[in-house]
Amino acid sequence: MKEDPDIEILRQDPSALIYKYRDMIRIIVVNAMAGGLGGRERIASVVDTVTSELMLRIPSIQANYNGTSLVRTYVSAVVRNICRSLRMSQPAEKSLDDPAHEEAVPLASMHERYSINQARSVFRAILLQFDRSLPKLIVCLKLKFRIALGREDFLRWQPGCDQHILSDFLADMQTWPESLTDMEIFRRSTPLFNHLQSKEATDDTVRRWTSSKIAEIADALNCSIPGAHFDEETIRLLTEDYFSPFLLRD
Amino acid sequence: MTVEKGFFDSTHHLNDAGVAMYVDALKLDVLDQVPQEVRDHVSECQKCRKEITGLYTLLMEEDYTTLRSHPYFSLDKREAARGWRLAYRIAAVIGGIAVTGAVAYYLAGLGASRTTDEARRIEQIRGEDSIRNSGTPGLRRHDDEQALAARYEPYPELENMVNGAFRSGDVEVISPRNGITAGDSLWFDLKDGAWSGLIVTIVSNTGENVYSAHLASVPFALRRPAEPGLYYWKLQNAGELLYVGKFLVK
Repeated sequence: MKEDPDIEILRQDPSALIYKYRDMIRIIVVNAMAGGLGGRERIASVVDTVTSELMLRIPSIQANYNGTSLVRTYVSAVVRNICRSLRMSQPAEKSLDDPAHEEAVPLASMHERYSINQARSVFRAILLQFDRSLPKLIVCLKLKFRIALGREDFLRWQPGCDQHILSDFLADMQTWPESLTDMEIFRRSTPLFNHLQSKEATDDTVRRWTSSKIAEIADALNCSIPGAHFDEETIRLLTEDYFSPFLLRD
Repeated sequence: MTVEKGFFDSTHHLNDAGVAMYVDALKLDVLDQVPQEVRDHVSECQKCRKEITGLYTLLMEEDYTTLRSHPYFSLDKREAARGWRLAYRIAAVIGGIAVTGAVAYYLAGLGASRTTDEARRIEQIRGEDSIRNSGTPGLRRHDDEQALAARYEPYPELENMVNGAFRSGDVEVISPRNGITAGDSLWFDLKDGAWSGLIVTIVSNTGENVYSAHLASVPFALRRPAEPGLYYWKLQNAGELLYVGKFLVK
């Protein structure tokens, strides 16, 4: 757990740090502009505005940075907040989401930067944040999207699960017709879920919980990726991709 | 510049330091080191998940994998793994050199210093060894060949359906052609596709479902299965089997 070398620069020469982070600041600004902070002709001026504001906040950064993250990550969070406050104080202008935008930004275009691989990466990051709820979420997503479920999926959720109940459920699941509705699938799963959670939920509780989590995942993706329109169907694709043993990943 | 390591603001959501710390943990794959209080909050708080996901997305292009240390997290396990990998590589190189040297020394010694009798005896031993050993690798090879051949045995239940006429004749498959050997990837394409809602399932030659997904669009690419063998693929719609094809992986 050695010190981040940027901590010393933050202490001694914060201007040098801002110069060091200039590309990162530009990426965040471009991202914010795609979200409605103005047209491409304004990139340079917005970067200047954000950088000036960042300089003003240096004392606050020095005071509040508590050494639990890289300075780079912490400053990124601050830059994002500055962009947000600028966006709130200015009317939205022409979006950068046009082909000419690439000429103005020496980075890859937004469309290239946010490729399917990056959506996969963000999707994975979102799933991980569910932490203790993740094993339950995985079971529910697999049920909802008709992805093969194995004994290990349930054991990750509840290692002490009754093996006979689980075996019976898995055997029964093999006989389910493919035409079953979501409602019916979750209704049939409710007794096992109640056993796993040691509580009595109604037939529709888990289905509604799953739908709300899918909506939250889509919302998190849409808020993070400029121009994205993730919905249940695209979440289905990302989920299938995530659990596929051999889907194309590059 | 040291401040209390607080991760929450006055509204009981993560502050910038908390968000930055969590993002670092995601990028460094050390979520298990995030304080449990923070993990529990994030797993339940959609607002904080959106904050974390937003910053994570912005920093996706920042490469943290080369970091050797972090001001808060221990990267020892990762460093240890990296160290072991390096040690294995060095050991492999040294081992290779040693074996090559030993063989060269042995061959040189045979030619230079051994008497004709010794050489004859060695030749005799070698001959016995070659007779004795010829069975083992040969048998192993035979077993391997049998196991490999078994992977290409047709699965009667599906083999009989390949090229069969199905009730829904409106699905015309362009690729993969039946019996082709898959390259690195396998493309699924339908003519004039009324593809929406169709399900593609890959089945091994033992009848095991190895992958299943809803087709959202065609063409649809899959990375070929890792294991060599004969595979079948089924196209279904609401419980109705529309097509069965097969392909080989070598």
